[in-house]
Amino acid sequence: MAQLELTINGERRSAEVHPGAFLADVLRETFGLTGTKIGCNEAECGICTVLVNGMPVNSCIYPALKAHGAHVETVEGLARNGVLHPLQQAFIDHGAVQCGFCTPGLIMTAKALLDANPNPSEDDIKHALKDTYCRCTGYVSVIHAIQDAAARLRGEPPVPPSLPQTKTPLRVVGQPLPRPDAVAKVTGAARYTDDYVFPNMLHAATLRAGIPHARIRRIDVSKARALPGVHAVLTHEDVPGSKNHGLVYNDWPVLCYDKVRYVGDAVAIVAAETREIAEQALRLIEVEYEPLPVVDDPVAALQPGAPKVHEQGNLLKHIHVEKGDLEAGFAEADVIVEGEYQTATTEHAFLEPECAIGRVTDDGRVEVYVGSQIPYADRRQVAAALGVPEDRVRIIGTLIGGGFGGKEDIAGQIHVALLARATGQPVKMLYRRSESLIFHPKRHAVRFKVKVGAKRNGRFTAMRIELWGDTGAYASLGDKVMTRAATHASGPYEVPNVRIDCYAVYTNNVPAGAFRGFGVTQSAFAIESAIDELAQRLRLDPIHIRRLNALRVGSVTNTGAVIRESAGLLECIARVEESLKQEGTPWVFRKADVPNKVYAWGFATAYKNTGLGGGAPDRSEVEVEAFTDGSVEVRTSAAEIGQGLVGVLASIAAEELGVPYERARVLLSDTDLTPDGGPTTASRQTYVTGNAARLASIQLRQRLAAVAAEMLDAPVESLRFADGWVRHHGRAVAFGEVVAQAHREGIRTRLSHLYEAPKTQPLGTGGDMHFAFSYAAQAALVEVDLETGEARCLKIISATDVGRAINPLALQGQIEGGIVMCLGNALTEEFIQEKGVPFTNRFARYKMPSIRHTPQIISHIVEDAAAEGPYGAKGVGEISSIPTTPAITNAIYAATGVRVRKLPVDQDWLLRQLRAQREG
Amino acid sequence: MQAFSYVLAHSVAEATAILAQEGSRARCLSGGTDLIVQLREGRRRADVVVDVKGIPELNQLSFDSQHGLIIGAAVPCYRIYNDARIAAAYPGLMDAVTLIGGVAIQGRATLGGNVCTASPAGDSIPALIAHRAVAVIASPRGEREVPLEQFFEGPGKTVLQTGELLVCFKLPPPPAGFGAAYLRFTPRNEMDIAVVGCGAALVIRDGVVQDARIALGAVAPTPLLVPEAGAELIGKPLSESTIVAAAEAARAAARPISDLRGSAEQRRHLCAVLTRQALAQAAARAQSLPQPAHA
Repeated sequence: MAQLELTINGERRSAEVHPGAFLADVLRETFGLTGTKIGCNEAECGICTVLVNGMPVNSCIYPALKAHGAHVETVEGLARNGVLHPLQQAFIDHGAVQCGFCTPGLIMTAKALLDANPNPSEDDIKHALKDTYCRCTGYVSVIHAIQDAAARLRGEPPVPPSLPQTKTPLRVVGQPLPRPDAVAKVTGAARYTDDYVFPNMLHAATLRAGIPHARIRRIDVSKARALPGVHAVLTHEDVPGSKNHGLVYNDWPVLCYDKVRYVGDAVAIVAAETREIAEQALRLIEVEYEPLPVVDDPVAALQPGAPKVHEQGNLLKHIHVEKGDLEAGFAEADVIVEGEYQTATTEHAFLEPECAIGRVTDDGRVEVYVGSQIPYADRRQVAAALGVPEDRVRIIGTLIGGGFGGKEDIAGQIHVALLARATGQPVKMLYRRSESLIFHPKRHAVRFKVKVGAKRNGRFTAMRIELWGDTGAYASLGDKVMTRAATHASGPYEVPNVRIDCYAVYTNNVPAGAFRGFGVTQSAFAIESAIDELAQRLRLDPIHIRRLNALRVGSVTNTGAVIRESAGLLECIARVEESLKQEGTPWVFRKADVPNKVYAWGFATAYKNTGLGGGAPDRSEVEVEAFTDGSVEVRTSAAEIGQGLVGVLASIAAEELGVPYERARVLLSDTDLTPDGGPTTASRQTYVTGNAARLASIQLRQRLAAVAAEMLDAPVESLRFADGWVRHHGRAVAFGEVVAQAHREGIRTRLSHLYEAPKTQPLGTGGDMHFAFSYAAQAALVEVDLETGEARCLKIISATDVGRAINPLALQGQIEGGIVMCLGNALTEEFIQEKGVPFTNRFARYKMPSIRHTPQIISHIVEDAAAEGPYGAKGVGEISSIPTTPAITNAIYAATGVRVRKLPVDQDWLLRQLRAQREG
Repeated sequence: MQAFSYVLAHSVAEATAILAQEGSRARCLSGGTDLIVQLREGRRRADVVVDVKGIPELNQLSFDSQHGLIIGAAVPCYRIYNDARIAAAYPGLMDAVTLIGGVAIQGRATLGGNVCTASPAGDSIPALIAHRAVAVIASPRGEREVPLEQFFEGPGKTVLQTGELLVCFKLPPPPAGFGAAYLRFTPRNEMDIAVVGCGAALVIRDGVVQDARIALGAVAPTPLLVPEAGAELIGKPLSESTIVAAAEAARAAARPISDLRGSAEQRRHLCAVLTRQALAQAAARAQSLPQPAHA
């Protein structure tokens, strides 16, 4: 051990540290400064940035002893005497805080920049932050926040955030309000799972299969158990209850017993006094495998004689969609285009790796702390594996550092529960980035065969689409994802004759499951490319052909559902078209000073269901309580993954109960204290849980109104609840006083409401599969370098129909983030696997967009209200990230004449195509 | 991650003594942006990590137009590009040090580290070779100098022997009519490893190319100096056709592999494209750079 002395945030500190210790770990563990986050431990993501003598460093790879004698600044040191630093305030005001996990790193990197350069250009900001990732915001708000902070530090007035035009706000709903959790997130006070420490806590590690397919012959853990410092080593024999877990199908072993089906399969788990000992113990576990043939392609997996991933065969689900008379539709067509398309496996790359802590309470119940998208599903699966009733398990949701669908499945929840019960001590399981990458379900790679027929005027007559989705080793949500991919495969268009066959197929790849867009991101690429090709063949304007066929009120979808309302697609198309006119550039153009580059626009549209649909009951329960101090609390188990649900629920409660927004607290995701809000998936929380919160708040208001009516001697109907007061003409009584009076009268001021969304029908019945759809249109401007094949997206014009903007600031951020994520899907992102073995086993091998990729974004909001949605709102989480990819690839076609058929755009391939064009 | 002991060295003598004594068990730590990550992932092993950032000779950064530039092996990138005189005199080097990583990396990463990691794709290397950099190496037996193009033996392998320490780089002063540039191509725009890097330096006087050096990265097991490309230019006026000839020579000299980041065919093509672009940029700078007073 060595003595470390340094100054942290102006305070002299010292500690004994291991000579090989790193600054990030010492800050977090020795000094308890958990505001500094660790995202990758390989100096790739930049979120661990702190300042050492004023210089930004990646503290995850900075030896702690190098900071001996130095001045270290962390995010905790920025606010002085309770006053936020201008950067912190600007990040809040511009909505540059979403999940918040990268926020400390972004702010510290920006601080170093502003310390050295008080007036940075946008380019300076992009240069300074090019190594600091954010997965939620898309960086646009980050750039604005830094510019604003710079202005404030120069003594200039603050720059207001740029907001989209939206409907006239109500008292609270529709206002661009800061997130309730933003202050905690910019000061470093916000706690994510790994920031929790319990006395006597052990650290856990998981032995992963490391091979994609094998029969387990023998597992010997005796040497690992004998290692000093090890408290428990568990295998499948130690799972008392259900040996498998799964969200829809119970096919995923808690710990593998007969076979391993992918590299990331869990075979054994260890709890030890330190993480290092736990990892050392893993190396002492002997597992004898009999390797089995590997199948890594969904089409090959369906061939007779293909290696079987599961006993019942490799077909997880065949999904069939049929409308009209396909053959007649093609016979009627004047032109038919056919094409094959392929999307890549992609990774959520949430910046917070999975972490869970298990703990046994004095009365023998098990508590699991975890950042999960579906707390009640966790509870069900943990209880099943432990073989105990569900009420013996409590899931306590912590803050979540990004999810995007990647934190719906079980990660370490069951394992820490098992280890906590085995050891009687709290156990923390934190995945390393390399482990997170090879373990958790990805976005499905999908192969498409598309055939589209149309009349000469552009009217679609028929579509035949086949899809093969690689769902990997376990079902996860593969069935549902590929169902959504199939039902959305003909695009947001009225097509009279459709036949779609979709196969969700098991392979020995890393499982695929939910990922923002839920299959529709993939389908949109295929169908929007095909339609672009059709427009080109017919010499029709690509915008016109989409407008001609767009779903509108009265249209019948490919599943037979009638669109009755809230179909803003035509308005989205019109808004983008209008902006394109204002741009004033031709569809394809060159610039004199860069002869090797060509510029072009591309266009695409999309739609996405809100809610689970397909006949699944879609419910959410919310409890609302009013307090005598005038505050209210909203409680539900629904995940805040950065999208802004806390703000939405606070706004709705404040609106309906007439209390100030700041007085509406939100408590999420504690299965003992909050009712079930259902999964945070399918863009459903604003609609479903938002409605539950609205209705619960209205009922509570009615209950309080009866009390207030007595106090004010006024009729109930004439009372107004606003700003923390209940008013009748000139007289008023404070909201808290009404609550106090209710209590005196023995009236409870807490109630809950179980909201059930409109019923949907299963696929194949022809009824309403979904209760609402969101729509979007986007145009992308790209630049292609004809000499190198390099393609960049410079600008996106977007219009999104969300029904109603509950919070325009949060909405804007979510849309920008979705666009940049989908830009990555088009141009940079691929989770690469070779025969079931991930090449992408560290962050350096996964290229997600950095701030350098951020295009200029012009974002319009369309508010075609959904009658049943809260204030007209419908889903927004996914829709913005769907049309960006085909808009970009269609632009590449317009620029070069090369049709992109495989994602992401391979510049090597594009260059070969360009050269072949020139030569041939 | 494997446990190691950390030693902060204060002098060249101390560092070389430790390196000589510990042999292959020891690794030098400079900025740590490569080494720490490699150790953590088990791609390298080290029992003793010798921090060389505290050695004065490795932190020197001096420039004058008579003797040229000396850059200590442990000088971080940002110190180089923050020095306006150096940035103006060695524009190819300037290009490279601003490309490496983001600011947090540039604040730590050093030329010594980039060179000793000896990745064929190291960004600073083709630029340094184009600028005629010489590596100064110390050991308990004394000092020796090696032109940088002779420093590499293969991916991750250099001429450094047990007990040897890279102390600094010497770059000659830029002659009159000097210009240089470094360009790289990465497959996904940003934050990636070069699939081709090209450093080019030109000396043009009275309209005639007096000297030309072209070095390539990521297209062979080691960074490559391509004298054949320079030969196409030297003694002739710079023209579109000599530039194309040099670019073709660069393409012919490249011995790239195909991997997930790029095919050999594309890499060869990009060698020609980048050589052409780098030469054009170097030529433009040769005409616009302020010329040294003694010329």
